[in-house]
Amino acid sequence: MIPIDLAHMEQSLLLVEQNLESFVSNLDPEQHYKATFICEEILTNFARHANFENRTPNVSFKLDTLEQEALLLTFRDNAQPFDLLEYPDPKIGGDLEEAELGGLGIYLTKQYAKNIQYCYENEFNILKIIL
Amino acid sequence: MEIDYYNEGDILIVAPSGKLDTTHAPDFSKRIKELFEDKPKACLIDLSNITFLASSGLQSILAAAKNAKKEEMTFGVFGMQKMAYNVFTMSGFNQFIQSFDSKEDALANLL
Repeated sequence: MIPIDLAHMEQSLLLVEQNLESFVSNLDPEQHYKATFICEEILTNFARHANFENRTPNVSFKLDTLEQEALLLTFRDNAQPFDLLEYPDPKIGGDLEEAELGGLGIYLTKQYAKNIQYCYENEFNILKIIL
Repeated sequence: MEIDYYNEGDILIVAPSGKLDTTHAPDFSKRIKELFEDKPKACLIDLSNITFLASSGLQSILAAAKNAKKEEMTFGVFGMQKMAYNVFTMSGFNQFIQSFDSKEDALANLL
């Protein structure tokens, strides 16, 4: 697991991207983009919205490869329970005036993922995303 | 992130390069706000050198488009790379922001 420092997101995201590049050789550029995109969105969401109450943030990321070039991204954090699968989708399309600023990152993560699993165990959120 | 800008007649063209992500979107928004103070008649964002577009980048483009509309300024984007265009269209932004393949296309067809 790679520890994520929410106070230094730029460095943390760089570390995740380096891990992605070193761990998976010859990764399809589209898969690479989607994996980087999801990491950016999930980790940014932690930094902006996660509620750790009085706990010291403990956030980590793990990358695994599965059969048929699939990737498994695992995020683990000790914030208050948050299941992004339950998060409502923003209104997509329509008029410029009605376009919403929030929720796009989670929406696109759901669109790009082949499978998302969430559980809350031993005071940790565990989010597994397959793409 | 580098943000170049120049004028083609009455049209302001803004050309950011690199990643339009959580780290860099605030710089882009700040620059756009400054450039809009000169009240150009139209603005095109050249996204051809954007290698990564995150939702925060989309939000900065949306804010620019809303600001442009408020100022009665014509607004569009052009030159997106394949995955940036995918992010843009999957978010439905192509339904309310004019997007073009190239600068030539944009200059000829911007409404």
